[in-house]
Amino acid sequence: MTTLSLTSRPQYSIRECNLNVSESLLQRVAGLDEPAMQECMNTYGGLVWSLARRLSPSPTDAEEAVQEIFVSLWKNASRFDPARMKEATFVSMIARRRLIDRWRKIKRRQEIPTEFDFTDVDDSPAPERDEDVQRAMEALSALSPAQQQVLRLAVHGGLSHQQISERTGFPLGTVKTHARRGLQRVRDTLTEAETDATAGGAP
Amino acid sequence: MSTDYDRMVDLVADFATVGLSSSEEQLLSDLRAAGVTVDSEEFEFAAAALDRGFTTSADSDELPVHLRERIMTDARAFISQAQHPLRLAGTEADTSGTPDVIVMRRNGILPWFAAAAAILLAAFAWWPASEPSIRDMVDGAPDEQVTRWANNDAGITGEVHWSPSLQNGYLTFTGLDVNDPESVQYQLWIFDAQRNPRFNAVDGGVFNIEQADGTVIVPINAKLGVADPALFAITTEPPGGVVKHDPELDPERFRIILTAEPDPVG
Repeated sequence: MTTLSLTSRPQYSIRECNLNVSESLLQRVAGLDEPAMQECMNTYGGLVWSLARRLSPSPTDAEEAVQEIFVSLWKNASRFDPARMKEATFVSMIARRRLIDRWRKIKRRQEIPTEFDFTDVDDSPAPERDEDVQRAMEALSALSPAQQQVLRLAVHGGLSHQQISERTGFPLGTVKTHARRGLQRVRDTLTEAETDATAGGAP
Repeated sequence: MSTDYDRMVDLVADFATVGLSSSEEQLLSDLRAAGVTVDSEEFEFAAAALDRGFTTSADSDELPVHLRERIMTDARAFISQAQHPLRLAGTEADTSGTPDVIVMRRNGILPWFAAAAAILLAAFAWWPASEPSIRDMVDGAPDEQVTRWANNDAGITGEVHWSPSLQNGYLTFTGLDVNDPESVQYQLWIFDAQRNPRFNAVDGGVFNIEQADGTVIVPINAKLGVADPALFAITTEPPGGVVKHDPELDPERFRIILTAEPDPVG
């Protein structure tokens, strides 16, 4: 085996190096690659569809939301940074942003939709968990049971602070504090991991 | 004692979990303008990772076939639109002549999205007729469709200009009332004949009218692809627009103002 020293390493231009880097699916989507867009829909359609059904007032609204989410995903695809988060988390983030915006507009006129049961806990096995999810759930497990409950109802159940207060019996102020400080703790854990990965991965 | 930074953290945490009210959005905007910075995407990242963690296998389901077809129609429209880069009056793109460098990635906004955002901004101002604009693009498109607003009691006149190939267009109005954006905004709806006939309106964007005199030109900002526009409608809605027009919400304030029905194509 031949070992090359640093001084004998051939010099490549950035362009040449990039030729050897395989593009992520979202990077190909950002390049307006129609087959990549189809693959993106095939890969993440189920994730987006489940989010939209859970956080939309009706199946029809969920369908419209899914279309808007994919358009938003294509627009934002070039911002995806694989060093920062997993692709599925990025897709989920864009989807949630769009759904919360739609949901906020709906809530101006009516209370939380009831067509879907947002909060029933299911015993089915969880899908495969990548590092993002593992770290988030580890951070969650370090929170108090009350904080965990509030975060679950807010993030996954789509309930407002007021609705969580009514459901749990916690004062409104406590609900807000639990949701905000709880999410902040999870955020801290994820960003620390991101920083560690960046530092450890540096040449 | 709560500092501006703490208030900002609370707001971005709420933004990532339950969304913000209009007044909270304004407060967030004020804090940003005052130089307080918190990376809201980090909180969205945390919420998204948690949400995935809470998700069970039973939550997952495949997209319906008809929805998959619609998404791919949108994809083709998106590609078409992106391959016709827009040059917008009053933006950096106009002065540089290179629309693909309007906003750098550092700001977290890709160029295409920046163009769309600039369209929205442009809706708040008069459109300078002498500069390159969406109007020039659409007027130069071989498939431009022009439809007049239907007769109405208020005497409002104008047209809808739409190009199917560009998936873009603009509206003209004469006599449309100035609105108070804090109370009510105008919203465009585009009814697509190839979508579900009961729920077929595509959000065409929210806009304001700031001057009563003369002709006002407003770019269309369709949120989805429109295969076959069958009807354009303008409504008044609560600030920020709505997902669905509700004629019973407040019929005095929120109502259908104008419609325009294109001739069937082909």
